[in-house]
Amino acid sequence: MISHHNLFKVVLIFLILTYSTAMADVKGEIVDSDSNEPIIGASISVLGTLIGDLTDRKGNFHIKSSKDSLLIVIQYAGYEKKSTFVSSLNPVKIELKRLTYHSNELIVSANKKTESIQNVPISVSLIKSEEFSTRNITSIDYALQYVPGVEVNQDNVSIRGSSGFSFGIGTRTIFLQDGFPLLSADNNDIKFDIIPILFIDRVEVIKGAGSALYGTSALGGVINVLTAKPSYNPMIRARLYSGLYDSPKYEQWNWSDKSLIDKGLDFAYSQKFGDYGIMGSASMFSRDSYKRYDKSERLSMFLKQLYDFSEKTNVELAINYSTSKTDDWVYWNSLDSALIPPTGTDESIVITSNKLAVSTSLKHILNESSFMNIKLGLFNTYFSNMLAIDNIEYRESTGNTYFFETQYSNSLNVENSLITGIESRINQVSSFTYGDNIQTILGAYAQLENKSISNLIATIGIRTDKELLDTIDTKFQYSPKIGLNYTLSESMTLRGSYGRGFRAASLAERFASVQFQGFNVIANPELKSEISQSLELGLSYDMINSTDYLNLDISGFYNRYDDLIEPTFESSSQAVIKFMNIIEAEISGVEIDMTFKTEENFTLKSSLTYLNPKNIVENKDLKYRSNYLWYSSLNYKLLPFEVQLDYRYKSKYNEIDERLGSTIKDHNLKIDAHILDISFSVYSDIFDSKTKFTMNVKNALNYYYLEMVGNMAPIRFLNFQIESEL
Amino acid sequence: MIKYNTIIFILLALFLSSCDKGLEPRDEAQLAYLNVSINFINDWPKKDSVFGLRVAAFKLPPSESLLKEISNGNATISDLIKDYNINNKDIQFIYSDLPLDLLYIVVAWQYEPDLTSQRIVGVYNIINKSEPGTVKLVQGETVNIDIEVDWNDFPPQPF
Repeated sequence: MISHHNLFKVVLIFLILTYSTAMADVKGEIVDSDSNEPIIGASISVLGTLIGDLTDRKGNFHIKSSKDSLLIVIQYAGYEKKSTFVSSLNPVKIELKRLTYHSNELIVSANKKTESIQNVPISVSLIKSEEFSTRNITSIDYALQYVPGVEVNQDNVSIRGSSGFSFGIGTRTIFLQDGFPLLSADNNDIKFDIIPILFIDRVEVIKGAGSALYGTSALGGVINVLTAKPSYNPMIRARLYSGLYDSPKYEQWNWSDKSLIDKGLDFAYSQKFGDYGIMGSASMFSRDSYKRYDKSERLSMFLKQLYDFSEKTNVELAINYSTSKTDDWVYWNSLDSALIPPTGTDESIVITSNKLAVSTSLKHILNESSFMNIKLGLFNTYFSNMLAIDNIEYRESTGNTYFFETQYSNSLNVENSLITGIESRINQVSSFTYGDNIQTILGAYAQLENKSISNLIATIGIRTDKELLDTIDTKFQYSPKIGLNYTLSESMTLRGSYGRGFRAASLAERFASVQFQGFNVIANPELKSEISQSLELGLSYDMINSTDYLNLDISGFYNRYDDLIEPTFESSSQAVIKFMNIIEAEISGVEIDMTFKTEENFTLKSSLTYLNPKNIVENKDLKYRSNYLWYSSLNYKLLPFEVQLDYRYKSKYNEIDERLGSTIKDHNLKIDAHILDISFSVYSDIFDSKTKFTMNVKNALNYYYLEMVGNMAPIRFLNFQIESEL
Repeated sequence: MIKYNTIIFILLALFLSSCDKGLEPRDEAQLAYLNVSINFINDWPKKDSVFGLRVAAFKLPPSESLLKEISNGNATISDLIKDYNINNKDIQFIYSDLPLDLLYIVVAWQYEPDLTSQRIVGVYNIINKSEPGTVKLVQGETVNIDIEVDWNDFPPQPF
């Protein structure tokens, strides 16, 4: 006998099958209008719906729809956008015309909606997926090091000088995957290793205060990782890499007779079946490191499922998981033995860390002009140094962040569009190190975009947030923003923006009570939120001729910070650190970013960022900030070959915490950084797969510089990589 | 057409000319080493009262707190020694600013994480605990000294 429960399942399957069989198949091919070559990765969307596809490596797309005739929109960077009707009766061949210049890349997150990069009133940089394989990027933080104006020191991300150094605790840059925040509940730090590298479509880096839409933590900027979508054609992709470190030039630094090897394997699969799509990946990574007591092992997995309930409603469920074991390296023994830890360090201590993120979103088109997006997420983190609980250096913490957001978007009329939403983030921590605490942050936002004046896009928005915590009475935070974007001519755009940012102190900053390797961190439950005001003026200029394209982007910015939270040595003792609201600061600067491309597949990018980071209270530079960042890259493709050179210059820090000298030897060394990376790739079609062989040398000059006080940066590293896609 | 060859040449020339070799360790011939061997006698205090031990070497006898002596460059201190109930421990200091006289070399008992919570428990001397010995360091030389820590008999405190 069939139970009611089973009967329901049978009926449901029958309905789904019936519905599926009633769907029409629309197939087609997208090609370059001049060369007739297939365009890979072009986006096809059905107007007024959420359904669509990406072209595969043969340029094919496949859409299932209840209608026989559809109006589709095809978009691909560097090509003219095209709309056309397609029918299920005959496969179509659609030609796209290449633009004479290659701008107008799409972005989504700056204003929580899809729009051209040139329409956004603030500075945005993109990292494209192909850059990950050419540079052998195994973690997002390494990719961010090439972004203009961004510095990454260990786990600290600093956009235009927004952050100094605090072992990543309390990031001033919010980190998102497809719009979901991935910051731990306790440290509020970024967990880079949880991101599925092979599924990254692009990474957007938004510079300047973004709290008007993103709330706490978006004080210095926003990093949004956007994952790719599955296609009806299966995608199987694998990457295998292994590399070894050069021996140090000086015998005093040589600590191992063995070859020191970093290696890893990534595997990814995705496919869409009717209304259902699935993406899965796994990554393994093992690092010997160039430093003793700095080994690590990591296993990461990712699963994403998508289902189109109808042409107007879809749901996505993503699960990220990562587990790692890492040595507890903190700083060197001394300059003379720079690649080993201090004498007496217990090198048996290993940090075990697990992370699990579960996120789901429901998108629904309400009518021709409005849609809703509901997001729900959980981010669980755990770490422990596995010492006995009575050991004075025992550290352990479990954190859960519960995230909820409802966003409503409405194109009110031709000239105006509105985005509103409510959001809650609950950070629950149960920790030996940070105590048991719950922090709740509630927010609501609205943003109006107006295009009533010719060539001008005006954006105005406001967000309010309220932090709820037992130890401190907090005020409502109001974060307004205003942005103007004016198109002077076809080749020149002016932009200007003002925004306010805030960051609620993390539970770690407030409640940490921990001792490790000579440092003793004590709690400060009274910590207030830090505030920023961000002003930017920018100019984007395209110079185009028949063969070459030059984009020049110049921006001037001014950021003012109040109640900035910094780790501070207690005046009564040099070994005790407390996080305190101590600094009024301002960071002003200029950024020039240039991209030059030729018809012969030659690309030159160069950016120069000048920063003037001032501690107003003490009338000196802010600690751990460079004054100059100069990043350049040269890329030349002569298929099947590709060569790339990346050069980065970072001027030395003017200010560091001198009191670190009580713990770290040779703490006061300061030096500019010159880093040259070289990559050479060969493309091949073997076994009917697209395969890329890459050899790259990181820090090819073998230049010895500091990542941070007492921390030598990676020495020369030679890596080989094979990446293949079926 | 844009003269991109010129742009590339200028950029390459700029960064190649700006590079040097970066950090390097100090030349050993210009260094001096001070090896301190600590010998412990009698019973150690209770474990929970010993956060750790440090060796501190002073150019001049200290007149202020240990912290101020470190920050004004008069003193260097070792990493925290976390061993407990041991009979002997060896510590090495490396000096590059030479020649140098060290007039007061001690072992300090740190009973709490706070660096100020210290007490002198051993002093380098040749005759008796009230008369600290002097060490002269010159380039390329190594000096070995012994310090006795008698848990039942501490030397005079400097202040």
